Order: sequence, then structure tokens, then C-alpha cells
Amino acid sequence: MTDAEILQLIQEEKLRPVIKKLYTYYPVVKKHIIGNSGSRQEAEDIFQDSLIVLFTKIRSGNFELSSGLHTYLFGVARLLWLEELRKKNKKISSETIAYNQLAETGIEADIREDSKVKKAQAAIEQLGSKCKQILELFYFKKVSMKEIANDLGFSSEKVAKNQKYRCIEKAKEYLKTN
Amino acid sequence: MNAYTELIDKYLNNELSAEERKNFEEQLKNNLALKNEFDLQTQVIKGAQRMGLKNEVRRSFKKTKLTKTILKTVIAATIAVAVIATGYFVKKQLDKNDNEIRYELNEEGNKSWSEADKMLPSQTIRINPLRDTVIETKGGILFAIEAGTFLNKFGEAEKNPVDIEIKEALTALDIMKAGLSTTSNGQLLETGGMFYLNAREGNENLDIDQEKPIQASVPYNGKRNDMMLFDGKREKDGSINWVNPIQTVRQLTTTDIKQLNFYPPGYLDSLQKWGYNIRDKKFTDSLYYSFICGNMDIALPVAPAASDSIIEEKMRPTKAMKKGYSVEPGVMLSADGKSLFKQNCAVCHSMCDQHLTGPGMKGIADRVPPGRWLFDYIKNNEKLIRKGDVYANKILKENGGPAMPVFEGTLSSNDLNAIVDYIVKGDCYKTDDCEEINPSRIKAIWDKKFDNTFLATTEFEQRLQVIFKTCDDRILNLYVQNLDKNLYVLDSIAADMCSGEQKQAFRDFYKERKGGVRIDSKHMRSLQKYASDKKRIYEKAAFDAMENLMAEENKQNIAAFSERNTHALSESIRQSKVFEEELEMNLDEAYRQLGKLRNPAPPPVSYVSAPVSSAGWKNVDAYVIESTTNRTTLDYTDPQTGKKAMIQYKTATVNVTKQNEYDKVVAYLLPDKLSSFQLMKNKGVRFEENLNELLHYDLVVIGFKGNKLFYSETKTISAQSYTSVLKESTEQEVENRLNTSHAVSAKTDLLKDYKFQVFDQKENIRQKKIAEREKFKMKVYPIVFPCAPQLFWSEGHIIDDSAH
Repeated sequence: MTDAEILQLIQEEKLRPVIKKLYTYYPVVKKHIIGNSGSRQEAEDIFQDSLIVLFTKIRSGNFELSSGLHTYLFGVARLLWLEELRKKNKKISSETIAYNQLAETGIEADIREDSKVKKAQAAIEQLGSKCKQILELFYFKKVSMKEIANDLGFSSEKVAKNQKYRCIEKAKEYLKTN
Repeated sequence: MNAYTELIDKYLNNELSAEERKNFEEQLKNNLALKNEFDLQTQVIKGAQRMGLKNEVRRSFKKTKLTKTILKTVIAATIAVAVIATGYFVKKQLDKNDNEIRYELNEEGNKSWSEADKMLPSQTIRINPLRDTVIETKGGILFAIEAGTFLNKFGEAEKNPVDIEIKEALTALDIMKAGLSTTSNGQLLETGGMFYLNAREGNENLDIDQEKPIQASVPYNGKRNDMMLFDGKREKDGSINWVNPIQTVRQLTTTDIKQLNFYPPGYLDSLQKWGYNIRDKKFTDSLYYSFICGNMDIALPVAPAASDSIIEEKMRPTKAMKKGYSVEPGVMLSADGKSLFKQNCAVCHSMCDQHLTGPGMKGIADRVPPGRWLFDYIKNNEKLIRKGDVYANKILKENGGPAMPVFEGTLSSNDLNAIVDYIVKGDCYKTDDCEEINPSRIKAIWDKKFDNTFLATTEFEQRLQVIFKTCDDRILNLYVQNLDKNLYVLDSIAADMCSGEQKQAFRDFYKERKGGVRIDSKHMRSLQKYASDKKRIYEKAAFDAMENLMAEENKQNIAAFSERNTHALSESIRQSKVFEEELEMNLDEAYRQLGKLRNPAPPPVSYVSAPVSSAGWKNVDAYVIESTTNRTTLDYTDPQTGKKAMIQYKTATVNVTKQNEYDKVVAYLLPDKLSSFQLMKNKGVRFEENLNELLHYDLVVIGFKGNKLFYSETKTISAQSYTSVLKESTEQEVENRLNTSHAVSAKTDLLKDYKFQVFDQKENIRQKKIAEREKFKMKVYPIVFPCAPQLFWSEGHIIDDSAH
């Protein structure tokens, strides 16, 4: 699978094969993070977040293939981990140089954007499981409200919709206060 | 419930009618509350999508147990491609299901591999190990491999083709991708890149000859000077720990040698300060090289060129050693032979052929027995004499006098070796030879030929500035004779060879750990030879040029001296001639007025320079002589007849406009009845002369200013004040005028004198130029030779032009 093919698949929302393919890069990121005082869990998390940033970028249509997918992916992972280290206040002197190099590529902006969305995601994560299901099914999987009502056992599409609005409402409230 | 939420959602899901939609968009622009809600809601939806994505990713992650096999297939494929591409035969049993890495043994000959081995593609190349080879990797690492570097298991140089396998990770990304750690014993490293290198013949790993290490040049654009090369040690967990750091050196980049400044410190600055155009390299060069000290003993083994640098001694025999005048082999000369000689030997021995208490050392290598003799003799000459050594006894007899002291016990072998080395190489210079950095040495190396050596680097330029300050030719030699070495090695030796500020400067250079410029030894030797040959040629040339110049100047000096002498002589004759004529005329007139007949015998010439000043009896002649000599009015009354004789002298003055601006002004009075001219007295601000009323004078004024001539003439002047404005003219024009427009009688002498004045002016200009040149060189001298006492140059070298 070439980078161009991967791009194509992501555009077409066919994520699974892409994720599988991109997971071949995971050991590298894992090695890096564990080698730089991270845990296995953190490595997983960082890698997954990196994939998300990559997908978002590709979907936005602003991704340029000049440096290669993996370059971008590693850049994001490295930066995310640096942020994490910074939060933990670990020694990162030797990394700073590489960090600065990456900053020029625009990865930093993508990560900042993603961290905002991540907050919104956190707002949804604290909702009840029904809410989360509805929102994920409707907005991510693009399942119709009628089907959702059916699958999740709402009495009507109307009820499901109202439920969805309430969920959005709650998430917004949460975002406003946090 | 917030009324907006539904509306916004419907809008976003495209569930509104066209009109509602338009309405909504209108409101969105104006209603701030709606706008905020809208932004928030789109964020929430993005959050929901991100959550979905994250879940999807998470789920996929759990399902990727098979990832590892995929990974290995990918790597196996990469390696296979790399190997095939370089012509390496891949075994048949290598198939897609084989999870093992393709190459059999790692650098230690076992099968322990790290992630890096697996992740980084190999670059393999087959080389002929019996040739010098340079490999450039894809990432730009250069490996310089000498012939015979690789040893097989018997410790012999491998003869069969060698496969070199290289993996490289030069960027942070590559390093990360390969999962290479950047820690050394738990400490984080800043890395400039990593590489793996292994060499194999067939299936056999080869060793690297420790005498012929492979030179690796890794591209590094950072600023640090303390980058180190670490060995990677494979740990059991598959990671690599970086150990045994060694210092790296920066290879130098050469530049156009002519663009560098090889002049002594302050040379260009001072010239610029004094208003010279320092971009005129012809001028700056010729001035600097005019200080080349002619070495008149060029043919003798005295020239520093014949000596080799200290570390060179360690590596190959010097000329002297080849002849058999050996310092003990393998001894590193750390002692300074010159200063040891000065302390211990110079009282009795000259380095030249002058016989002091003992014989001069010049040419000693040609007369004493070869081998260790000199060393042994200096160490303990008594022992040799007692043993009946023929030569030792011969010189004892020849030189007589007090015996040479025994140095055994006082001087170490090291010291003795240094002394032997020093006297064998010779150090005899004439007194006016420079012991400092001879410009001839600079001229010899400031040459395109050295463009690809470290001499053509700004690093060497910096060192040269300090070398000048050491005033020590040997330190320059050290660098020039070791073009194949790394600069920092030479810096360290140079620091040992000098003291004070310069020592510190070389130490600081050493700390920079500057490398060198690769150069093969054959090329280096030819350059060394070039440098020393050229130095001698330039010295000879400079000496010859100087000698010729001196000879030429001397010739002209002598000619000018004789010309001036001749002129002075003929001028005195001319003056007496014209005086006589005037006196003759005055006497005739005086006798005529007195009504007497005159005895025509002229007074002796010697009277001319003996003006009458004492009172007493004088006859008419005496009064007339006095009057004519002093050019004062004759007012004589004959005591017998009461008749009067009067010849009036009246003063005429000539003011030459801006007289002080001329180098020289001459004012000629041309009398109509005499055969020669009268020079007006130069009073500095004006010219003055008393005119004889019996004569009519024309006035000619000639001014000299450098090479220019100025002229004016006034016909028939009288005793009054004139102002003469000189007009620029040429030598020929003036001559023509003098030839045509004046009293015929004075013309010959006038032209003759005029020609002398022209010559005199030219001579003055020449002398002035020489004086200026010498004065200027004197000013530059302490810059070129910072250690020389200033007086040295100024004594006796300045041509004195105070004669004018």
C-alpha cells in the first residue's frame, strides 16, 4: 500500500485497512516513548492520537505528501510525547532541537487544533453511554436517526432526535463551564 | 431546551429548507449568541467524530496481533531488494514465511539483533580491499578505506572482494524510526547521526586493522565542536547502549588560498591606516616580499628547508638521519635544541664557521664520523679520548685549549639528542638574516599549489597570525611539513614549542579540535619539496634583486656625487671668470673717470676669495676690487688729483610668487657685456642682487617642483623690485628659450648651469624617493618582524639626503 493509496482510502473513510497498515509504525513510536521514560499505555495513547491528527489533517485536504506519511506521523508522535513530557516536567534538553525543527513543518498547529477537539471529545466522554452511542453513530458512522432509534430502542425517530439534542446540549454546557 | 441546538443541528445536517437556511445564515452573521452556540456545537460534533475515530483506532489496535508478521515481511523485502541490487546472492530458502533477518551474523559474529538492525535498510557494496576506496552512503557519510584495512581470521589483509554493509540513521526521524536510543548509560545524548558498518568476505566477518582505521566523515551542520563517536553495544533487550566515546574532528573546508590573509598581524591594517590601498595586492605583496631576508648560505645545509619537523622525525628518517647522524631512534624530541645549545655550548661554539674557544659548528655533519659519534662525544668527550677515538683525539690536538666539559649527568639523552639535531641541521645565519618568519616562506606557501591542503583554510590563517607572533620559523615548519596531519595535533605540538600568550593561543586552537584536509603522502611530499625549493628560490631572487637594486643605486649615487663635485668646481671657476671680467670692466671705468692710464695686468685670482676688510693704504685697484667683490658702490676720490671715480651698485629684488612652494628656484642675471651669468642671492622669501650700473641685465627665473619646470624672464631689469610669476614649462621649452632669447655672451654657461640644475633636481627626487622608501620600510619592519629590535634596521640603512 503506497502513501497515495492510504490517502485515497482515508478520503473514502475506509479507515480499517489504513489503520492496520499504519500500525506497522507503532513499534517505532513505542520504542521511542518507552526509551524516553514513557509507559506502554502512554505509547499506545500517543500513537493513536497521532493517527487521529493524521486522519484529521488528511480529511481537511491540507495534507501534502511531500515528506511522506510516516514522516508526518513520527513528527506528530514525537511532538505529542514532548508535550506530555513537558507536562510531566521531565528533562527534555536533547529533544528541543528536533522539536524546533518539527515546529516549522506546521505539525504544531495541527496538534493545537487537535487538542481543542480533544476537549470537546472529553465533554462527550463524560456523557451517559446512550448519548455517546447516539453521537458516535450519527456523526461518525453516519447512521441515520431512524436506524439509530431502531437499534437503540427509542420509541420513535423523533424521540431519538430529541435525545440527541439533549446530549449535544449537555456537552455544550460542559464545554462552557470547563 | 435551548432553541438553538435543534436549529443548528438541522442546519448542519442539511435538514432546513432553502429559505430557512438563508434565514439562518443571515442570523448567524448578526446574532452573536447564535454564533457562539454554533461554534460550540460544531466543536461538539467534531469531538463526537474524534471519539468515534479514537474508538475505531482502539478497536483496530486490539485486532492487530498479526502486525508483527506484516512488519517482518516488509523488512525482509526491503533487505532482499538492497542485497540483490548490489549483486549479493541470496540463498534460495529465503522465502516470505521466513521470519529471520537475512544476514547471518552481526558484527560480533553472533545472531543478536536489535530493532535498529531490522528497521534500517542495509546498503551493501562490494569493494576491492587492496585498493584505497571511498564510499559515499545515501545519507552522505563518507568512509575512506585504506588498502589492506580488512583482516581475515588469520590476521592477514583480505584479498578477495569484501562486502561492506552499512546502515545509517542521520536524522532525528531516521533514528526514531529505527528505534535507536540516544542514551549512553542512561544519559541522553544529542546525536549527529548513527551508522552501522560491517565487512564480510563470503560468510566470514572481517576485522579492521587498528593501524588503518576507516575514516568516517558524517555530515553535521551543527555548531558543536565536541561531537563524539560512540560504539554501540547491543543489550540483551535488543536496545543499544552507546559506549566508548572518542573525539571526532571536523574536516576542514579549503578555500581559495589567495583570498586568505597570510601577512603578519597588523600588516594590512597599518597600511590602510597610513592611507595605502590594501586591495592592491601587487603593492602589498611586493612590499612584504621586499623584506625577504636573503640567505647567502643557501647552498649549505643551513636553510631551514632542510630540516624536518619534530613529528616528522618520529615517522621517517630526516636527511641528516639518512646520512647516519642519528638521534636515538624512536625518541620524541621534546627538548629545544636551540636554547639548550645557547645555554650550554654557545659560549665556546659558533653555529657558523667562526672559531671561538672551540670550532664553529657549520658543516659539522660533513666532517665528524657518522652514527652516534656526535651524541657520544657531546655526552662524554673524555671517554672517547681515553678510548683512543681517532677523531676525538684529532680535534683535541687541533683545537688545543681547554677541553670540552662532560655533559653526562648534566644533560639527559633527550637534551643531547635535541642538541645533536640542532647542530646537525645547522643554524648559521648572517647577522642581517632574519631569525623570524622570512617572507620567502610565506611566499612559498601562499600559492595555488596548496589550495587543497589545510593551508588554504581560514583555520590555518588564524594559526599563522599566532605563528608570526612566536617569531619562530620552526613552528611554521611544523605546519607546512605536516599537511597530512590534523590541525589539533600540530596545535598541541606548537603549544609545547612556545610560551606565554602564544602558548595559550595554540592551546585554545587545540581545544577546537580542528581536523585536517585529506591529502595523500606522495602529494604531501611533493608539496613539502615545493615549499622548501620555492623558499630558497625566492630568497635567492630577493637577494639578487636587492643586490642589483643596491648596485644600481650605488652607481647612481657615485655618478651624482661626481657630477655635483664637477659642477661645484666649474662653478667656482666660472664665478671667478665672471668676477674677473666685471672687475676688469670696473677698473677700466674707474681709471677712465680718474683720467689715468691703467696698468692692464689683472689681479691674481686668489684675491677673489679674500675680500678686503682691513683699513689701510690702498690704491685704486684695491678699492675697485673691494667694491666689485662686495658688489657695493665705488666712490673713490684720488687724493692727488681730487678727481672722483664712481661706479654705482644698486639693489634689485625679485619676488617669486609662492616661492616656498617650489622645491628649488634659481634666478639668473644675464649681463650684456660679460661672458657668463650672475646668480641672484636667494633670501628665502625673495632674490636680491646689486646691479652694476655699467651693465644691462636680463632676468631669468626657473622654478622646480617635482618633475615640473616653471619659467619666467624679464628683459633689462633695473634696480627696483620685481614680481616674477612663473609659468609651467617643459625642460625642452626652457632650453629653447635660453638658447634663443638672451645675450649671446652668457648663453653657454647659462645652458650648462641650467642642465646641471635639472640633473640636480632629478637627483634630489631620486634621493627623496629612496629616503621615503627606507623610512617607510622602517615603519613596516616591526610589523613584519615583530620580535626584532627596532634599531637593528634603522642603523646604516638610511641613505642620508641631508646634503640638500
